[in-house]
This record gives sequence, C-alpha cells and structure tokens, in this order.
Amino acid sequence: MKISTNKIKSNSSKFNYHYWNYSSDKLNNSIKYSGINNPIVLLQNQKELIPIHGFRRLEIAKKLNISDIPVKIFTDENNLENLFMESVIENTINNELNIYEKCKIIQILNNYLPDYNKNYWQKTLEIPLNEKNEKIINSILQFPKEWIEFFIEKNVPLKRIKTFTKIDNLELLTKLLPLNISLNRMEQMFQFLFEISQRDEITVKSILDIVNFEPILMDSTIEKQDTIKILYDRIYNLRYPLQSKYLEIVEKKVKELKINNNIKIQYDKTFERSGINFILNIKNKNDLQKSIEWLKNNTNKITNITKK
Amino acid sequence: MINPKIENIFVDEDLKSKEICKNYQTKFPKAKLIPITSEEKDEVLKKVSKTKNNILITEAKGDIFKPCPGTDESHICCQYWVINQVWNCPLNCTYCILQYYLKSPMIITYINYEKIKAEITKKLNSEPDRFFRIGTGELGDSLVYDNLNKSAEEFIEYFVNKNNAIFELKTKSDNVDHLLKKEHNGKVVISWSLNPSEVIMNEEPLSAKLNERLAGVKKVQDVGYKLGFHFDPIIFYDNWKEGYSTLIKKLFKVAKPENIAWISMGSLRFPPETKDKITDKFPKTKIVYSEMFRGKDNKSRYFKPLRTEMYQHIYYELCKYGGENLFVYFCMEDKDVWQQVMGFAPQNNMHLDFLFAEYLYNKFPKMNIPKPIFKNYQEFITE
Repeated sequence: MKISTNKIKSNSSKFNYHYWNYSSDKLNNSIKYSGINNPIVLLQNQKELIPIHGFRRLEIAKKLNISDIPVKIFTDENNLENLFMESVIENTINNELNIYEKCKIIQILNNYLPDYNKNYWQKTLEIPLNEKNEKIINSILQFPKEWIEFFIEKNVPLKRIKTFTKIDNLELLTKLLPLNISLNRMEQMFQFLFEISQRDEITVKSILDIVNFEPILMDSTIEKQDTIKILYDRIYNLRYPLQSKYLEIVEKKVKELKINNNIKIQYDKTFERSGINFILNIKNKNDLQKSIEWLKNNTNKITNITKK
Repeated sequence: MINPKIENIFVDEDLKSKEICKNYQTKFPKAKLIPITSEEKDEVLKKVSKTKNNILITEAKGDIFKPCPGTDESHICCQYWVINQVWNCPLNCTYCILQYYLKSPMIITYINYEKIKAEITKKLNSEPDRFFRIGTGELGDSLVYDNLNKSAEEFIEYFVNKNNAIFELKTKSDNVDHLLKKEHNGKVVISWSLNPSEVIMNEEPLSAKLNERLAGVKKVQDVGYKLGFHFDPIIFYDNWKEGYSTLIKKLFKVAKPENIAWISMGSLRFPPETKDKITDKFPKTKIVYSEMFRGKDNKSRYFKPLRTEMYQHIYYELCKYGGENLFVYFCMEDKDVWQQVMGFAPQNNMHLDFLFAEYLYNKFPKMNIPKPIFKNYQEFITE
C-alpha cells in the first residue's frame, strides 16, 4: 500500500540508528529515478504511524517531494523486536553499519525492547552484550556529535574507545578536532590527561590551563602540526616529569658534544637499556680516522651523558 | 588483619573426612561443605561464582615443585624453588598479579603431601652438592589460612632433616601462633613482605598491619625461626623516603640481624596489559599512575633512575639499622641496577644461587650445610 509521507510521524526517531549516510548519493539517485522499491516499515501506535525501518528512504523521499510512498504497516507491538531485527539484518548484509550505529541499536534495544534476545542480537551485531560492553556503549553515546564523527572517521574500534570515555568534560578538548590529530596521538593525550588528573587529583580543565592549552590553540602564528606537537609535549612532560627532566639534561649534554656530521647518537629514552649507540657513517679511511679521533677526544663527555 | 571469609568448601569426595575440612567448618560454621566426585568436578567448578570466598581441597595431578619462573634472561634471578601447594590468595592487594594471572579466583589447596615431598626428595637427591632455597609463597600467601590447612607443619617436619635445603614461608599475615611450638631445627625461614603503613593501608588493606606483622616477627624469632624480609613490591608515593626509613627503623627494633637469612628488594612491576585491570578493579589506587615504562622483560617498571634511587635509599637504611652483614638481593633486576646500588653484580643466576649458599653456610654453621663450591654451581642447570 502507499501513503503520504505527511501521515508518518516525522519527529519519531525512536528506532533510528543511523549517524550518517542520510545524503547517500547512491540511494538518493536510485530513489530519484526509480522511486522507493522496498516499502518502509511502520508501526501503528494508537493513531500514530511510527517508522521502524527505512529512515533514510523516508528522509530522501521528503527531500525529493515524493508524496506517496510504499509502506508496510504493523499493528502488533509483540512483533516489534522481529521487525527491528529485519531492519538491522538488512543493513548488516549490506555492510552498512559502523560500530557507533551498532551501539545505537543496543541503546534502542535497552530503552524500548528491554526483554530482547541477547544471544540473537549478539550474533547479529558481533558485539558481546555483557555488562562491561553495555557500560562502554552507553558512555560512547553520551559523546557530542563531533566526537562520534571523529570516531567514525578514524574507524575507532570499541576496545580503543575506552580511553576516550575516561574524561567527562570534553568542551575544551573538542577544540582539538579541527587539527586533524591522528587517533594514536589523541588517544595518548586523553590517557595522559586522565592519568595526571587521577594522580594529582585535579580536573582536566586545570591541567589544560597549566599547559596553556587555549592560548596555544588560538595562536595563529603557530602551524597546525606544531600546535599538536607543543600541546602533546607539554602534556607528556606533566605526565612524566622526572623522565622529561632527565631527557632535557641528556639532550643538553649531547648538544655540548658538537658531533661530527657523520655521527648519529641513539639512546633508550626510558634509560632502561644503559649505554649510548653511536652510528658512524664511514665512507673512507679519513672518515674512520676522524671518528676515532672524535670518540677519543670526547670519551669523558660521552661516559658522562647518562650519568646522574 | 581482616579475616577473610569462606562460603563454600569444595572437596574431593574421598577427602571429605580429612582434618582440614573439619578445620574450615569449625572456623567458618556457615560455610557449606560440598564433596565432589572427579567426574563432576569440572562441571561443578565451572558453575561456581568467581570469588575467593570458595576453597577447593584437592589432590595435585601434575608437578607442584618447580623452579621459580623469574623473568627473562636480561635480569638476574635467584634460582629459588617453589612448592605451588596453595593457589590464590584472599588478601586482594591492588598490585597482585595473581588476581589477573590465575584463571580461577577460587583458592585451591593441594593436600597430597606425600607426592609433593617425593618430588622434592627426587630433586634434592639429584643435586646433593647444591643448597636449595624452597618456599610455598609463590602463588598464594604461605600462612594466611595455614592454621586450617596445616601444610606448613607438614613441610617443616619434612625439611627438619634435610641438609641441602632451607624452607621458607612467605606471608603478609600474622598467622604464626600454630607454628610456635613446632620443632624446626633451624631449617625454616619465616619471612614477611613489608611496606610502609600508608602503603599497607592503601594497597594491602586486607593483610596484617605493619605492627601486627612485626609482632609476628617477634614471636617466631623468639622460638628460633630464621627471618626473611621482602621489600617487594616497593611502591613509589609522595613520602616514600620517610615511609621506608620509618619502616626499616621499626623493623630493626624487633628483628635481630643475626637471625635474618635474607632480605630482598623489588620494585612494583606488572605486564602492561594489567594496568587497566588494576584500575577497573581498584579505581582508587594510584600505583599505576607513577612514571613507569616497559622494561627489557616487557614488564612495566618504575623509571630506572627513580627505582635505582629508591633501592639505594632502602639499601642504605638497611645497612644503617641492620649492619653490613645482611644478605640483600634483588628480585628480577638487571646487573646495572645491582652495580649501581650494591657496587657489584652477580655474574649470572647460578652465581647468585652460590652467594646465598655461601652466606648461609658461613652465618649459620649449626645448619650443617655442605660447603658450597663455586665450580659446582656453574654446572647446575635449573629446568
């Protein structure tokens, strides 16, 4: 049967789990030229028609001013879980669900279908539906839209999202998003901020004040990549103050060595492995003699580098 | 010490009339005694809720007597031997790897002592020129339930006449009264894991308080047991220097240096993947937020200059209050740390094993230890 889109409760997004793809060109073109082939699934709830499956088709139809669309109307609320499952399976087959949409599905199940068959859904969504995961899922869904978009863009797996859920107040940190920071770096910064706040019993906001977060972000004279590096280094130094202090001293001593161009120095920055590696680039006898000469002249300074 | 509780006592059907079951039932009258046959054992235990309030009394099938696993070759290990007769511990210290490492949180006690003793005898007889240090505190606390298990007494009786071995009981409890009248012939070391009071309060809250542990030290010293102390894990916190100084000062008000067999030092370390597990289980602990990095053995350890400084301080205090004739060693540290703290490093694991034997031979002549010969120790292989 066909009905007008006006008769469908347009503001009911109870069962909608899509975060994006509303403007999917492929679907848009298909509907534009061939109309809607698969009926939209609706639930008759008293006098209202609530959409369960076909949100994107419905949205595109409205945009294209298609007035009458094919629908299937169900009245039995007991059948709701199966109807919802059909929608999810269709999207899963088409491989269109990202992890955040899957989370949203679990949230819908918890909110509107609390007696859902966990084993059945677990297999469909490929996420273990245990208490721990549900806790993470609920916290993911508290994230502002910009962050969800960041997670989708970086394809962050559920396991790695945990670090981001550790910090409550994201207002300031949201300003990092336009800097196009890699997932690893962002994750490390969150982890460090969380750990500093726990260790020193201070808020993340205070830590950001200490590292001069906002002024650095606002400084238009600093290049984007440098901004990230400066902020990361400052947060790292707060997280590992002793190591940073040691590194500073060692780096100063290394600089004082006045190294020849053909010599590179490497050392373990955690100081776990003692000793310093000198990589000598030797092309001829002269290089070799110079390097040996340099090492001889600097023996004392070299042995002093990693000494306290 | 806060007394842990046992709710279910699972026991092999044919062991249900053993004294140990009666001991547990008397101590925990509300606990259920549940005999299980070998056929139903796996199925029953699978369904049991995962808690340390359950105990399983059973017989070991595989080997129980093993070399201490130590860590990889980049570190010096002391060639200790362990009797894994008790698995798991009810004390729930925040840093304890057992709660993340052992698959079953249930406490398991193996009571087929004759089999275990036969394993030990075989090893002791196979290397009569070597001196073995053997203990039960690797996978659980040696004494926390020992007044019920009575296993320490079994092993003490066994070691009384062994000349090439010394037996160690390691604990964080004060549960020693049942051992005070036991004949031990000087062949037993009772040792305590020690930390400053503030660390005990935050990270070891169910174990005996420092003064309770020290009261235990006094009791066993008075009846002639040898003493051991393990500063392990050494924990970094704001006032660590004062904390460890106070602890060592208090320790030597009770412990006489001439009764001390050995003292170990080891700083906090854990596999990096354990970090999240610790914070999940103990959200209030701050131990994982110190400056720790992956060491050569892939375990997270304190920043090397920091832990070296901590060791130097503790070693200095130990010598200051306990004198210079103490045997202090590191558990799982590299030669570099040995060198920086003690001014020397054992050549390898067997050299350290030899140094133990040599020290005990000279310090405790009444033990009748065979004179250790360095050359022999280079030939022993611990597998």
